[in-house]
Amino acid sequence: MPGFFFLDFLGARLVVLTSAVRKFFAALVWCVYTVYTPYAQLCFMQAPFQLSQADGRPMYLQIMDNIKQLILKGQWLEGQALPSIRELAVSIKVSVITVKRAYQELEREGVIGTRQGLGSFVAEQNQNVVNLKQSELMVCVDQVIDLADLLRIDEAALLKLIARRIKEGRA
Amino acid sequence: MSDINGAWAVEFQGVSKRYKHFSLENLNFRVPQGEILGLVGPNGAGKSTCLRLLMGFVQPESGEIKVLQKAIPEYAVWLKERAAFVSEDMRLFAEATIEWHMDFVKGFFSRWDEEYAQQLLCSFELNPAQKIKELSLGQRIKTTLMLALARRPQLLVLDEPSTGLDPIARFELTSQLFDIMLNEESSVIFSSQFTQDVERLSDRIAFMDKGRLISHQDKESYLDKWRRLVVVGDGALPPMDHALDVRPCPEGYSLTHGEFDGDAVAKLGAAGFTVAQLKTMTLEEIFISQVRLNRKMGGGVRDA
Repeated sequence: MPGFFFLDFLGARLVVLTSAVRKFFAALVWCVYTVYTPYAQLCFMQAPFQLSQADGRPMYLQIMDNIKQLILKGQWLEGQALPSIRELAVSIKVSVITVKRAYQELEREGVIGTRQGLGSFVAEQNQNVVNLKQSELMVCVDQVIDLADLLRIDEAALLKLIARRIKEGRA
Repeated sequence: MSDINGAWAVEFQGVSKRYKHFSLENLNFRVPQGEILGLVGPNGAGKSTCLRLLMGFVQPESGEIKVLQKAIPEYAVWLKERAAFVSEDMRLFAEATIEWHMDFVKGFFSRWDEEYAQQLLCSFELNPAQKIKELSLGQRIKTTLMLALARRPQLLVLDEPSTGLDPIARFELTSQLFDIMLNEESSVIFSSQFTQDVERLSDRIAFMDKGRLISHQDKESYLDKWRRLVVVGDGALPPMDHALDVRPCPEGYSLTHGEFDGDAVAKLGAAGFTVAQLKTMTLEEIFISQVRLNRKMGGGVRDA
């Protein structure tokens, strides 16, 4: 029966085709796992960030906090190069402008420094973690003063407010 | 960012387009090369028309459009090689396979990147041997995206790309957009109803309502000027153009402010009010407030 032969022939071709397609996919999967995955992991290793859109705080503040924590914990060392703004943005999936803002604010606070053409580094301040915490405290104090200024609260009222909060905290 | 050559990917100058029942009026905005612009606004705001003008699919009545430094629509054909456009109503051939489409597109675009195309097929979990008519809506959208991305466009224009995608597929899509970001010269313009995606992805936000651009600036500044606040004081609040939802509360008043800065605080201070609470807002909340504020201020009412 020529008809059956024809069908058989078609079936054989189909089998050959699907196995070729399968091999092709296997090769692809292999490529992804051996080449792409380590690269992606490397990116994540570089930046083990915890960010959430449900956090309530603006994203740039969360990024700043994450970077400060990494420095305080000694995972990012003094003088160490930070990922470029674009690299970090891609690896933590946040827009470039947001990371840029976080870097700018960190630089303003003296946590990181930027060298022309070399990118950003963790600031070398010869200080240990305690010092860094102290400088963080100073930053907070500055923020309180700025905010009080913005809200037109004068020095006496601000000091009173702080004294009251301390008392409340200890009671 | 704007520090790269200072080149603009897109420039709109006084662009107007009128239809019988809808018009775009006097659009002015510029997008620096390498940036991602999120276009947001309610349905019927003119987002799609704006994107179609940009691609040279429709002609403006007045104004100037430049894309990749070339005048549009005069250079629309030139632009097709360098810019990719994806919209929800993209047509693919139902009877043809994904592979056939890839070969078809490859023939037209010299920048086609086969390796990247294979990578995309894999990460989108698409089977190239499948026919378009066998695909789900999400798979069809992913296919058009794959065909656009593999062309390695200098400018990627996406009209509501995530509509119809489930959260996983949306995540895959945004991940791909982040990969594009690695290349400092590629720019992306996308419109989306998913404010979370826009908030996360975009470097700048253009807000449209009723055929007008009511706000366009970098995302950080835009998010920064919107606040929910509680003010303490006696008497009546000073008149504020950018205040919404003003309600008396035990301390004084709670309100939403769309132009919050030192001046706003000074104005409140002069009237005897101090700011007791400040809260930032999500783009979703800002979206709703922005539209209501725009309509309250009489924006969007068509000129005679």
